[in-house]
Amino acid sequence: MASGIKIEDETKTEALKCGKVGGYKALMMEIVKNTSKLEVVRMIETIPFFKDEMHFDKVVELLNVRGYDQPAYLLFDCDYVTHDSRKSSTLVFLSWIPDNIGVKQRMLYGSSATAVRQGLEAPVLWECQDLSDLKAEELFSKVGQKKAQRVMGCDR
Amino acid sequence: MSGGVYGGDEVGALVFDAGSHSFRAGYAGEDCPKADFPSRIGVEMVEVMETDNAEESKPDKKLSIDTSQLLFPKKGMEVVTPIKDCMIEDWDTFEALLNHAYKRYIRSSPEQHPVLMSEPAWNERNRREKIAELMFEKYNVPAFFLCKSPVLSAFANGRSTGVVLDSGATHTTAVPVHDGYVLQQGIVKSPLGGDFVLMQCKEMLQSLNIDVIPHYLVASKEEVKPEASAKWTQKKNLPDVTDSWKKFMINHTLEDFAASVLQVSDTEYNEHECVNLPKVPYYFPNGYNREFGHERLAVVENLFNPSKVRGAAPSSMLGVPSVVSSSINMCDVDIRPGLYSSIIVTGGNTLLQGFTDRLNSELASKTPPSMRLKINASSSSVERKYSPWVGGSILASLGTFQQMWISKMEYEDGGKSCVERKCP
Repeated sequence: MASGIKIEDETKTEALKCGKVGGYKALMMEIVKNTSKLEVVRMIETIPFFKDEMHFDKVVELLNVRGYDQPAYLLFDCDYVTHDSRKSSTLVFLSWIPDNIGVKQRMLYGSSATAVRQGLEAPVLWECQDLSDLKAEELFSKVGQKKAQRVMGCDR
Repeated sequence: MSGGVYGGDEVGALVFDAGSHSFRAGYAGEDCPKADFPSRIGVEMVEVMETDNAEESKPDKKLSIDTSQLLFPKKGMEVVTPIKDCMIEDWDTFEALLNHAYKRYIRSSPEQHPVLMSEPAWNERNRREKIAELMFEKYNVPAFFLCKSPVLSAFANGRSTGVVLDSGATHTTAVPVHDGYVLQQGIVKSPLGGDFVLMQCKEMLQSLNIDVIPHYLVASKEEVKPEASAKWTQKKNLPDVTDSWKKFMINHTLEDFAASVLQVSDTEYNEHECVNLPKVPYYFPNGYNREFGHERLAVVENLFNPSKVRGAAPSSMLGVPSVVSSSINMCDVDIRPGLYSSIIVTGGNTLLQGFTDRLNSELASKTPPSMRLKINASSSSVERKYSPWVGGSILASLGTFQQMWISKMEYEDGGKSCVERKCP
């Protein structure tokens, strides 16, 4: 069950480059109305791809570009170390829906999150409401203790 | 897009949310429903007059719908409800409610507006098909959609994964939602809801020798001191009313009592600790008045701790925190952390003072140490009471949602079974 939302073609093409060399390490997106008054997902900010480990702080910083009081979707390449000490990474889709944005925005973002995550082929959905959710331990539990020994920037 | 897709959103869609206590209706895109009236209906049997007109379908029942008609004493009027276990049971009565909503509040013809309706998570296939059939064939709606209430509540709180705790009139239920779909294996229901609270109030008042006299009986009353016996006179010439209506009226009075007086204790109820809390006065319709102290906390304690309920098998009743934790425990181990960190509280009964605080403290002791507990309860009482309606209202008003409707053409081509396909 979902809102039937679409991702803008250009945004989708760019987003599928997330986690790839020459692409992005992270993208921030928002929902806007397009010319035919349909709600679409559009890219607003990016972090270009780099080889080093992606630190969790960068995600928090990117989210703050627009302010924590604005809803956003964030797709990022999360680096982690497997139990046999290999380096690996996975795409995490962060749905940032603050509580005080009004029920209309909450419903719009909330009912679209799953469909957008699937459209962008991100295996992990992480839903956050305030800074108490946006914690390194939470990210670690989302990526999964079965898969990861340690998530970069989430030392514990 | 195929030709079958409903594309006209010039006219606003309608949203209906039928609960066991009240029926909510209104236009999509608005923040709260236009109408919220009791889903109970008064039925009087009237003798059919012999007429020359041999029309066989002449109605032999007189219906009283909505507060003003239902609260008026009438001879032989029984109070019935079309909703049982949150599902539609009596279709004729349900139609009467729909007709009333269209006529009195929507004030527009049904064939002009698509309809989004909420349904319980455990609705059965035949009932889903029947409601689609009713809306398309009887009301001729241009498009229709059925949405599960817990999913709408979760979305309205900005979540697509979480456990939705809904404490309504007849039930308290916990429904796990994952990625926008209900996990059927984790649905837990308990009969401890608003009606149970009213029953407990009644018992408590009986034990204090307080008679609950509904407004309709009172002709006049005199001012009396607190706890002094009431001086009032009963109305004369009242029609011979039925037991079901009397019960309905007593509950109506108790609802007001519950909303103004009751409070949930922060921790497990202890009479010695509660005697020092401020007392709350209440004025009954017949003029009797007194202050309620620890009793007002004791009454709702059974919602959280049903082991003390008299004459009930404890196994059949789960307290509110146990409803949530057993629901989560019935789900896959891997998704449990995500459910504990997103518990969405909704339903009118949760507006009892102190409800979420107590839930939080009880669940904290049931949450495994490796998991984080977070309760999501909207601070707005309108959103809490009407969250499925509000969620449906916004969803149906989105431009992109127009492709999701079952259009009349699709229904005519594919038959009623298209409900299962289009509305998972």
